[in-house]
Amino acid sequence: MILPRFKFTEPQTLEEAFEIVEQNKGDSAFLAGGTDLLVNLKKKVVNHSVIVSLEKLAELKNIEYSNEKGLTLGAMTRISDIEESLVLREKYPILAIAASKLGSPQVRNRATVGGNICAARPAGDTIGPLIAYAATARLVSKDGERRQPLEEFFLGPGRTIIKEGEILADIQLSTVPANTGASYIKYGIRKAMEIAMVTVTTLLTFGNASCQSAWVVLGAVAPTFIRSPQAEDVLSGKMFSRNIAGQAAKLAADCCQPISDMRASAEYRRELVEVLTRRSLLEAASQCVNFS
Amino acid sequence: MKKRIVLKINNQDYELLVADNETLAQLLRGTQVNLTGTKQGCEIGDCGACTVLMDGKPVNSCLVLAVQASGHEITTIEGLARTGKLHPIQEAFIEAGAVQCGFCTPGMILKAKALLDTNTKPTRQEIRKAFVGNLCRCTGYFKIINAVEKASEMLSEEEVKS
Amino acid sequence: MAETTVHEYSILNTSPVRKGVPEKATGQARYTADLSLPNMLAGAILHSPLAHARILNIDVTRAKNLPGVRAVLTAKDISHIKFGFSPARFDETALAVDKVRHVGDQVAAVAAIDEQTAREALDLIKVDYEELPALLDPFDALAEDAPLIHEEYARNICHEVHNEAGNVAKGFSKAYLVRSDRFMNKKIDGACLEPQAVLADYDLSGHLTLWTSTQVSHYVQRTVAMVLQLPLNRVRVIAPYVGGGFGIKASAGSHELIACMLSRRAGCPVKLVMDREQVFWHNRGRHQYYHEMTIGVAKDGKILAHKHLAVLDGGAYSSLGVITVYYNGSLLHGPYAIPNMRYDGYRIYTNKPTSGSLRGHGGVSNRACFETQLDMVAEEMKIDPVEIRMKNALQTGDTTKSGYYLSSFNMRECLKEARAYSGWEKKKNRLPKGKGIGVATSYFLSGAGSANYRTDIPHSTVVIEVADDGSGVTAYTGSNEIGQGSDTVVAMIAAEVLGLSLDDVNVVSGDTGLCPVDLGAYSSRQTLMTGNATKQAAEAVKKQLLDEMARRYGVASSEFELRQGKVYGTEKNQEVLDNIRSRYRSEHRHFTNLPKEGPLTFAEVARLIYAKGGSILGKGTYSPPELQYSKKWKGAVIGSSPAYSTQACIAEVTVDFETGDLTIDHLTLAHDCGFAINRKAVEGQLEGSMCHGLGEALFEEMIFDDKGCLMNASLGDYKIPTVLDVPEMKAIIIESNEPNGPFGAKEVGEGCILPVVPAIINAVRDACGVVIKELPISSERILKALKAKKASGEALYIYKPPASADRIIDQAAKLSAGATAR
Repeated sequence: MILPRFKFTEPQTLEEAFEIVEQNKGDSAFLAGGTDLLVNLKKKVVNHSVIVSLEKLAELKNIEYSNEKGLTLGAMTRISDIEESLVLREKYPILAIAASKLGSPQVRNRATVGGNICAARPAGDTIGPLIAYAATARLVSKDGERRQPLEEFFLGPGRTIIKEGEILADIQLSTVPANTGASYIKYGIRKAMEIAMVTVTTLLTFGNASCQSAWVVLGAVAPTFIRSPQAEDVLSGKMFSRNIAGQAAKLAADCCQPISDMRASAEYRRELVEVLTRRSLLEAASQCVNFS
Repeated sequence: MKKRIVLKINNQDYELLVADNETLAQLLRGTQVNLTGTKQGCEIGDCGACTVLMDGKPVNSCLVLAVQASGHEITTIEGLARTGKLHPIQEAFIEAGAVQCGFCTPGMILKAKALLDTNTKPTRQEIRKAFVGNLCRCTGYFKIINAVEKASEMLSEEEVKS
Repeated sequence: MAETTVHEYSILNTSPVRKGVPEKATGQARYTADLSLPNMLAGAILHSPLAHARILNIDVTRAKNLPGVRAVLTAKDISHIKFGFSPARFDETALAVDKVRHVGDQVAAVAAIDEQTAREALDLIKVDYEELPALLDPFDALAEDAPLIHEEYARNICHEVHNEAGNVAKGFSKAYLVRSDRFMNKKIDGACLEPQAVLADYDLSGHLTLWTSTQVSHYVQRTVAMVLQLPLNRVRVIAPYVGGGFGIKASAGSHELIACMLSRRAGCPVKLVMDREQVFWHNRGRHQYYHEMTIGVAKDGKILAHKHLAVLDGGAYSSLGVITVYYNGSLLHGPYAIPNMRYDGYRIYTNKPTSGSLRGHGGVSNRACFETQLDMVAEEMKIDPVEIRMKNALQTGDTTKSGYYLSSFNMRECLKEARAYSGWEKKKNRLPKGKGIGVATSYFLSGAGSANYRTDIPHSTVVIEVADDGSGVTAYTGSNEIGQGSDTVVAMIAAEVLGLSLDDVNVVSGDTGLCPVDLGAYSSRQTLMTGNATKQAAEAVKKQLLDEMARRYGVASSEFELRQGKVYGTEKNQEVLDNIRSRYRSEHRHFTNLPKEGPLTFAEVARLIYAKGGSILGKGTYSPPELQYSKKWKGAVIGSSPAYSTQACIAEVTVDFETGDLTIDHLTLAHDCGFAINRKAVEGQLEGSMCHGLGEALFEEMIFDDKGCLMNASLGDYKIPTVLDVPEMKAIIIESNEPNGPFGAKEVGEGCILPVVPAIINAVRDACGVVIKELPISSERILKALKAKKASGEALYIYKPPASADRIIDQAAKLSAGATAR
């Protein structure tokens, strides 16, 4: 499988990048890690005559953390750096865990968080945890910038709210409140190298022994990542218990819209959502509170 | 229009003209560089046979463009044996019986190097996790895990000696 | 004792560094895609996007005119001589002639200055098809009004086999327990890491050299010569390093012929490398099987009768499939004694990639069905699954109902050792809920009794030539090293007989221009057959050396022994020795490391003989002896072999009741290989098979859409085990000293995959009371079965094949009702 012919460009500044996109209306694509785009080009799923590498754009590589401001994660941050970062493992643990389950070490050394987000796969590994950490995406264009909560970033499989001429610059995550437990579960056919059948991300913040806020984010079971507001409502403001976790899990399973494909049937995915949501909630809660 | 790139491959400087759509794997295996030790099993990052080290980190060379490799240091399987002497990882693989058809072997050995460069005494489970991106159809992985364990022993002995 | 047997061998039964392995570990080993020649072109093949269609017209004008394109071929440009595996069933042409029969069938080919240009030229070829109904499963293919995929084969039946030995009806009538089960698997791909590749060089003197990733240089040479109408003497096939075969490279392929034809047309070498998708379309992997088996067992657990009806989905062409449909029957004749057996098997053409012979050829799916059924019988009769197998096991000296004589057969020992190592006694019925342990056994042949074409030639010929100065020998063998270690087996046998170190034995293999004929690496034949020929060749060389010493010393040749690179016995007459040594030393003035004292070296003696008469050559051959098989069991000859291996596998698993997730916790595999020539290599085959079988049990299946397109033609979507999926494993070598094998050795490599799938299915049953009879055992199927079991309240739930499988089996049952065993 060979790559089709294309023109490779490597802008040194954002302005250059905007210029190239403008000149090649509709026919250019951004190259981040390449583990998605190059595969799609080889498989002839997509075809672009101009490839715009983001490698040299310093603005996309900014990584900053402070206890006050939280985390700014440049779009070109490698998944392997997210996996190995001590700061991330401590402050945003399920993001690091999700990163460690993406593809293989070889893929992770090239793939980027920006690429993972913009590919907008319903099974994209980092997306669930980013949403649960209330991430905001910052998009830049020659007209300025805008921000969008990641929760509202996706329109469907492979489709985002990014307009032509915009580049995802970074993701911002606020500090995680104290007494927060989180869990990321990915299920696939094999134990590695899988595009998930189902992903479940849960994040529970506790105060006064009860759950103050809950995030239940599901991947691969709807056209985009979805939260389950019904599950979250049943958890919030209550003492956590196995019972409540079970109820929430059922509600999560009810709200998802899985499809049947060659990996699994919709029915099975729905069953997995229930079981894995329950397990995920128990895991998240056990990091903070005792419960029965 | 070809592009000029400058890179180091196995500690040797290269200045090359490459096509925009040429992959690093194709460049390494092609007539300019002529290092065919890096294999292609799938060309889309599923099997790891094309694994090389880029600045010491394992990557699938089928998914890196040659132009992207400019300015970087690439290590292929041919770069391991030092002046005619086998690298301890290579010796370990050979002695452990971890090589059957050999097609996955260059990728496996380079991945082992990357692992042992950062974790000198990995457990069997840590070894497993490190190798998920390298498929093998012949060995069942068992003797490969044994080889990496053996290599870590051999390398620490060498450390002690030197 | 299983693991250590006392031998007096210098090198046999050890684990030396294998030939070619340092080269593989350093990147020096060159596989076909690594080779290049000056002026070389890149070849590319255009494949059919349709499963079944007539080719109305092919317009190659634009492709021909693309700058850089040097040759374009379609059917009208090339030979239509048919080829395949068995001459009686040659049904393939290098390019599709009038119609295409599966998505991926070869339609046209291009040679151009580089791969990019070649593939762009393919896009410029315009093919007009008339789409025909695609027959995607055997039911549709067997329908009365179905179109014919091959005109000569009515109802798309590629081949059918009907056999009865004894009287099954009588056997069932006497049985205490009779049960019937249906079972199915899916089409399986070989998934070798190395995609097929070929470099063809047709030079202007009319000589064709072909480097190709193959298991069978000899068959490829014959096929190329036949199709291109060249004398065999002008066709040379060389197998360079090969990255795995597992049976899928055991026949000549269109890609090889196409590369040769392109080279001839263009007048340049042409290299053609398959991408992974093409590898899947070429397939030649495991058939999809639909089985119905009925077993009758006596009160004491003895098997009395067995009836087997099977339908094989063969895909578009025959390949080795005719043999498969026989093996599917005969590979159930062991490892148990079954006095009454009936087999009705159908191989059906469908418009899907062609199935051929994948590891464990014809013995994997049927074994899975049989062993899981036997286990259910054992459970119902409250007999321990290991015990029921022990009870029914055949032994050395027995003959199967198909007439195969088991010259060595240590199934009981395999079971005993596997049981002991796995801790079966402590675990069976004592594991916590969700954990299970399961067992299965099997047997396999050690080389097919006949070649794929009618011939009397030896199946293996080996020539050993001694270096002129005696510093070593080279063994020339047409056999194929594909990573299984056959070159090392040849070297070890030669080294052992000649008393040399392994480093002093070179092996040249797989090159039809240099090596005598060997039928190649398939049906697990090389250790036994090539090994025997090697032994004979080495002994012929040894005889020359010892006879010369006998003459010189005036004593019997039995007074001398070749060991450690020396000829012991020569020290008994110092005068004769000094005479020979001084001549050798004066011939090698200024050389270092010359022999000074002690017995004469191999080199000194060989040099002496070279001086007398030039090249020292030893030839060895092997043909299977007159093999035993029952004339009453039709086609029993297919399955007959000089020796039979046997094996036992025990699997330990954990099932997650809420998700159906299956984890394999441990695998133990004991295999009777007769004698382990290279111990680590034997272990490697067992470990590889456990992983390979695990993949087939849990993940692997070729998935087609309703147009016959393969949906998962990648190693990401067709899932072979990653390292994290494979547990700790134990390989146990059992040695039974096979009289027909070199030093007692027989096969390892194929038999060892057979018991893995059923051991896992049985362990799952043990863990959670469900029996999955549709492979792969996915977590979804397990969960479905667990829910159904819970709803039914039964202790055991059988997850049966779907209705689509039932109608296939029912249809075949109707067909076979009329058929008598012939």
